[in-house]
Formats: sequence, C-alpha cells, structure tokens
Amino acid sequence: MAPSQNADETGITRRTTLATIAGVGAVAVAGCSDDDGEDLTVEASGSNTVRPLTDAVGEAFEDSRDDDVRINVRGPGTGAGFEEFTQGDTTIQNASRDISEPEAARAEENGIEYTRFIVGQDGLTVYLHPDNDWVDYLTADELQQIYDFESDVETWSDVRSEWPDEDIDVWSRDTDSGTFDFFTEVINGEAARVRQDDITMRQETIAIVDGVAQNQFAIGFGGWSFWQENQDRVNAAPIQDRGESEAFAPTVENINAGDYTPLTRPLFTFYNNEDVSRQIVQDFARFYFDNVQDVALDVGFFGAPDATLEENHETLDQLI
Amino acid sequence: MSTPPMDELFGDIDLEWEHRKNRAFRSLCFLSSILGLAALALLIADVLWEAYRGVSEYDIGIIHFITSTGSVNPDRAGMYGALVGSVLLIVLASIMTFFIGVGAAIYLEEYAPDTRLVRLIDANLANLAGVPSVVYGLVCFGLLINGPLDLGRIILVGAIALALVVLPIIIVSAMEALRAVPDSVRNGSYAIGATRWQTIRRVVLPAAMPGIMTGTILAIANAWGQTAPLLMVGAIASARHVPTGPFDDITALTVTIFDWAFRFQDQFHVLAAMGIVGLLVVLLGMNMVAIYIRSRYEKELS
Repeated sequence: MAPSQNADETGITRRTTLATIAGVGAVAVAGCSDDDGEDLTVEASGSNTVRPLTDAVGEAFEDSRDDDVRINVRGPGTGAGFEEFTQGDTTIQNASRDISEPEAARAEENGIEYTRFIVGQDGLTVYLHPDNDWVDYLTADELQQIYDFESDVETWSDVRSEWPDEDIDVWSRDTDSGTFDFFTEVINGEAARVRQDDITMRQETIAIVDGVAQNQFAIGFGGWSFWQENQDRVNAAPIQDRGESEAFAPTVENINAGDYTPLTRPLFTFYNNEDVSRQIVQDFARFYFDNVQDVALDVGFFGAPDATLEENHETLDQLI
Repeated sequence: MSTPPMDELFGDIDLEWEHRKNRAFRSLCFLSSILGLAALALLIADVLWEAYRGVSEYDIGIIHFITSTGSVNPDRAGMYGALVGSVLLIVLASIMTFFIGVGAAIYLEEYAPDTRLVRLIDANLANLAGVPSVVYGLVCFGLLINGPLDLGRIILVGAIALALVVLPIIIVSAMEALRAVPDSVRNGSYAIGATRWQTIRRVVLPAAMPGIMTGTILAIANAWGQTAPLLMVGAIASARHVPTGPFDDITALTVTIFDWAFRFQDQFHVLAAMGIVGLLVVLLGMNMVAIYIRSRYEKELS
C-alpha cells in the first residue's frame, strides 16, 4: 500500500506543476490578444540623458488619453540607440548630439528616412561658492583661460587683476561624459581639450557640487538641475558669450529665450518617417512640441524655444 | 620500558608562545567574521535610514508606494509596475531553471558514462557559474532580440537571460546534492528489483531534495537581485505600465531602483532606498518559503 500512496502524492505535485505552467501559458496568450486593432505602443530609445524628458512627456501624454497608449522609453545611450534606430527598430530616437556621418550612412543603407526635431535644451551651469562675492559674471573667454589646455591661471587674480590673489580650485566632470565633451567644445574650441594639472575631475555631478560648496575659491560646472536642487550650497555664474556685451544668468527665462549662450545645448528627437504615418505617433509628436516646455523643468531640462517648436509643427505638417 | 618525562619530550617547544599564536589566530578569525557582519549591518542601517526619511521627511505613504506605478513626479512614483515585472521574471526563470537544471544534474550524476565529453561538460559548468551576468544579457540580446529569433524585448527573454545566469549554479549544487546520497541506498533499491528510473524517482531524488532546494533558493535569490542582464535586454526603467504576462514589456525593480538612484532630486534617492527595502522584504519572504519547503521534505524522509 505504502508505495502506491507515495506515487499518488507525487502525481498530485506533478499535476499542480503542469497546471501552473498551463496557467502561465494562458496568461501569456491573453496578454497577446490585446494587440488586435490599432497598435498603441510607441518605441523610443537612445540617449540616457534625454530619456527622462521623453519619459516625462510620455507620461503626460498617457495621462491625457483614455486609451491604453504606451510610450516605451529605453536609454542605452545615444550611440547604441542610433544602432537600433538606423535599422528601423525604433520609432523615436532621443539624442544629446546630432546624428554622425557613419550613422546617417547606415540609415541610408537600410532605407530608413528620418526627421530631426530639436525639442529641448540643457543649460550647463558654472558653479561658484556662495561666499564668492567678486565674480559678477564670467565671459566665455575667461572660462577658456581657466579651463584651456596649458592654462596658466593659478589664482583668481590671473583671470581679472582686481580679483583676489588666491589659488583657484578648478573642478570638472570626467572625460567620459557628454557634459564634459560639450563644455570643452564650446569653451575651449575642441572636444576633450582641457587643462592637465590643478584640475579635479569627478564622475558624478553631485561630487562637483560638494567640492565647490566646500571651498570659497572653487569653480566647477555641471547640469542646471543640480544647481537648482542645491541653490543654498552653490551659486551659478552669469555667462557672457563671445561677441556679446551682456552676461546672462542661467534663469528659466534666459534659457527659454535662448539668451544663455554658449552653455545651452540642444536635445534632439529623431522620428522614423515611415512610422510618422501612424496616427498615434503624430499625436504624440504634436503633444511633445506643445507640452515639452511645461514638463521639462520637472526633469531638470528646458523645452526648445517657441520658434523652434513652431518650426517642428510645420516640418511635421510637410511629412504627413 | 621507560617513557621519557614530558618536559624532555616537549622541551624545545615554547608552550606559552604556541598558546599565544592560537589565541591570536582565533581573534583574527573572529574579527573577519565581525567585519563582514558589520559591513552588512551598516549597509542595511543606511538603507533603512534613507527609507525612513522617505516616510517622515517626504511623507511618502508605504501603501501608496507599493500600489503606485512609476512616474517622473517623485510624489506619484511607486514600485508596483516594477515589482510585478520582477515577480513575473523570477517565476518564469525559476520554472525554466528548476526542471532543466535538476534534469541536467540527474543525467550528469546518475546516467552519464564517465567519458571525456562528460568530464568536459562537468568542468565547464563551474566556469559558466563564474561568467559575469551581463554577458548572458548580451547573449540573449544577440540571439533572441537582435538575432535570428527576434522575440522582441519581452519578459520571456528577460527570464531566459536570468535563467542562463543561474542555471550553472543550480546544476552544480544539484549534482553535489545527488552525489551526497550514498551508493548503498541505490544498491539497496536495485537489490529489491527496482529499475533505475524507480530508484532515482523514489529513492535518490527525495533524499537529495533538501540539498537541491537549498541550491535553487540561493540561485533564485541571485537572479532576484540581477540588474545588468535586464538592462541589456531592454528593461523599461520608468515602469509606468504593469506587465501582464510573458510577452509584455520588461520592467524590473532593480532597474527602476538604479534609475531612481541617479536622478537629481533627493526624493528619488529616498524612493530608491524604499525600493531596496521592498527588494529585501521579498527576498526574505522567498527564503522563508524555501526554508519551509526544505524542512517539510526533510521530515517526510525521516
């Protein structure tokens, strides 16, 4: 008797297991059958920096509609994202830089046509200690003096003679970051060109904020959002562009008006032209242009200027 | 017959010095064990403190946090969408690994002849267990998403990636457990006329089950904490949608926590800590269930 009882017991276990597997399978099939009718999913990929911006607009878009639309945003990086985009795998490509020549060539090879839209802006901010009462503004040339390759600036008085004769403490993001590439390109004229000694490089922006907050004679740069979040600990220097006579602080108004140059960088989205024929993609694109200025601040960015967004609408009209 | 006196035998050994060495080694071992424990305690204390800050400073309701999906607004964000994704991934990965893993172990330990090929497989299993998990993510991306199969970035693919990460661990531990069953038990079974299948099913497997369970539990706990392979197969960090099945988009708690930890708002860092607490609670829960299953099997045997 005993062995057969045992067999029964294991039989039940096996049946339960099979039922579990069948159950999982049934759920899977049910999940699939949702997809009939119009596909309401839009796939976006690309820059991890821009991802929160498209996510923020995507969330607002989903909230604004009654249907089960999904804006799926992944952030493997601008380069990895273009890899997928130029194969036609994704509808929207977020990018913190323009498409490169090899990437454009690959798109052409694969017969992928696309359109570029500038949707947002990122304002790089120069951080100063709150007790730094001598810097009223910095010109782009002065920033270059401080950060340039083989810079001979050692004290603040080397920048402007009336400033204190104290050692300047220079901070920067690390050489792997897009922030560093952009800053060195617009300030020093060439990406990755930077002074080699007496400079502290950090991988995390918050480490630069901490560093500048601890030394009255420090200077550093990083994302605008980190200054916003730490306004009690660091100040932001107004910047005067080359060929300008006025300096602008990185305020929301100045950045939105396009006055905070040259440290404002554009953020791009690329759309696959073929996918733009889908109604949901058009709706999302228009929603993006109309609402990006409102939601961008929540994720530490700015929407593109009004004129650019208006232009985007016209470009989209021609595509359809 | 005369025994030499003690002090003559050990005359050249400084006993006091030997005792001191003994004590020193003991304290060294004690310190090492305390150091590991202290590091763990510090880590958990830090996470708990941050999570507590979320409840006290930012007034985040725990129920709200558990039942809300992801959001760019830290006041609205919760872990529900990510948690469901993680649970689906782990359930699927466990089903896949348990049967394949134990099956492979039974074959290698009970059936396989001692050929060069089997020994090669045997040796390589240990190597596979040491391969960084991100590599398995890349393999799945190359074969199942970008490659010939083109399944897309779905939960099933994520589960396969996790299954690949932990499969070698399960096979190796199950083999150990099977090996620990003494041959006399098998021979006894054969002696009363049982076939090999009957012996394995009725005698060897029940005896090895607690060991197999322990290995499986440890492996699944490992899979539960994986982030890198899931990033590779395209998990969606924002986790606004609750996945409903194996063909839905991938979300995972670890990936969402990773995302929150690098936001600029302090409130998201606190949310990340709360997510880690959630991760740990589920982990403890799984371990408790596993310990229960294990003790039940042990009782049945005796």
